Amino acid sequence: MPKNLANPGVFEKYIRTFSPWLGVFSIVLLSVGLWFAIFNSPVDYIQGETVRIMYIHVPSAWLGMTIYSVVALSSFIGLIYGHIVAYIIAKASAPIGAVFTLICLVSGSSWGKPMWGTWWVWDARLTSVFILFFFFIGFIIFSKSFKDPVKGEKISSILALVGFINIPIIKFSVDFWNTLHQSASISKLDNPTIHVDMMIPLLLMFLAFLFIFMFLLTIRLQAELNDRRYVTHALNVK
Amino acid sequence: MKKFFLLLKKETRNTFSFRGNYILCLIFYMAILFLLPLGIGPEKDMLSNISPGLIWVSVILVCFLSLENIFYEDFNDGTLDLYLIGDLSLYQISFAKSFSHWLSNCLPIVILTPIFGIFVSLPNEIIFPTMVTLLIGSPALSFIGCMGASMSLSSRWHGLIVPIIILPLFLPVLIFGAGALSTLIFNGFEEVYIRQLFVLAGLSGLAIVFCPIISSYIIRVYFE
Repeated sequence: MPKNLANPGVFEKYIRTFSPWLGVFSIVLLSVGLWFAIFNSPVDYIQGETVRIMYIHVPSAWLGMTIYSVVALSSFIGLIYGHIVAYIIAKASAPIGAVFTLICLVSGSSWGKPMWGTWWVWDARLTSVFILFFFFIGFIIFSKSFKDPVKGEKISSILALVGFINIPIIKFSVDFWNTLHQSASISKLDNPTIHVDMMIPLLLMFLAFLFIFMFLLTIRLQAELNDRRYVTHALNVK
Repeated sequence: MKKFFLLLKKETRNTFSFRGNYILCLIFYMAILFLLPLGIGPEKDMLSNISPGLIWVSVILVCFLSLENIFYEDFNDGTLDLYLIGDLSLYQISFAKSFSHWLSNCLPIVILTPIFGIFVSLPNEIIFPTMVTLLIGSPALSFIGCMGASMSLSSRWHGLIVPIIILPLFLPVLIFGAGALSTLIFNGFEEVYIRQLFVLAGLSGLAIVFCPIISSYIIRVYFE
């Protein structure tokens, strides 16, 4: 772990070196994962070919929750230590998380139409993921709406922390309320209720999505760092 | 403690006085409850089935309308600075603000439920349970909303941004508040209704305890 990573200049140098590698990794993982998901995975005996939507739907749902946790955690670190980099990570990853949550919602509803016979139900899991999407949107709009970025960062990180209540609700919504959405079949580590042939492409797709997230994050971080530099400069000149 | 009650009295009196907006809120509430049956259709059975939900949704919309004024004027004309100079803590100030918002905006609505319920043909035996759920659930609306109002003080679109950031936090209150009444109407389960009331009371309690802390921290950030 290198020192001075909290220094924005040092941090920027690191992400500049990592960014292309992350891009290469994500393309390789995505192509392998998609090949597995589309051509080399078994067909479900009830759902047929529509089961392949899972390989987009489940990883993007996991990532949506992971990214919100990243936002909340980095806001927390930012509030405690006052590192600019932590705030900027929160700001940069929120739009990516919103897009992944949207992908999860859209793919889920297009999976629900053939399987459940409806595009949308007000089920606990669906509602809580929708609320997560709202939290992302609120955080993005809110963090952009401040005249003074220094205060804006602090206050929007409090909003991100308040929204973190939603993550355990999403996780346990299928266990608390017995509803239409099925419960978790992978996180039961000792004996997952999913076959290995389906699990491998799923995990590959999750890794691919994770690397895509990190790749996009490095690009967005450079933009946010430049933006922040410009804004602080403008404030100092004035 | 004496000063806290003075502040509470002053805030409440301000809202009830002529420059306050509580009349506006009541009229807006009436307008929503007037528009909804016209849009849905005047069938009495259907209306009385969905009336608790309609009342809860309109209460939340009215809250959105009145929230932006909690801190904004005092923040802009310097009254908040004067409060800070005095020996009230920020926690007390934000608690008094939220509580006076509840007293002046939510309590009249709760009390007037039997009258406004006529518009959406609220069944007679549901009137009292509706008032109870509103009474227990609306403090959560006021206190969470007050937190949102303090967050949006120096944001560029302060009035429009409050509903966006507060909406997801209002949803549990709406779900349990309207859900308790729906179980009472559709199934008649007293027990389930009371259990949901407990959840609602828990939400309100959490909001009353934690939201003033958060909003006092936020206001502290503004005056750094």
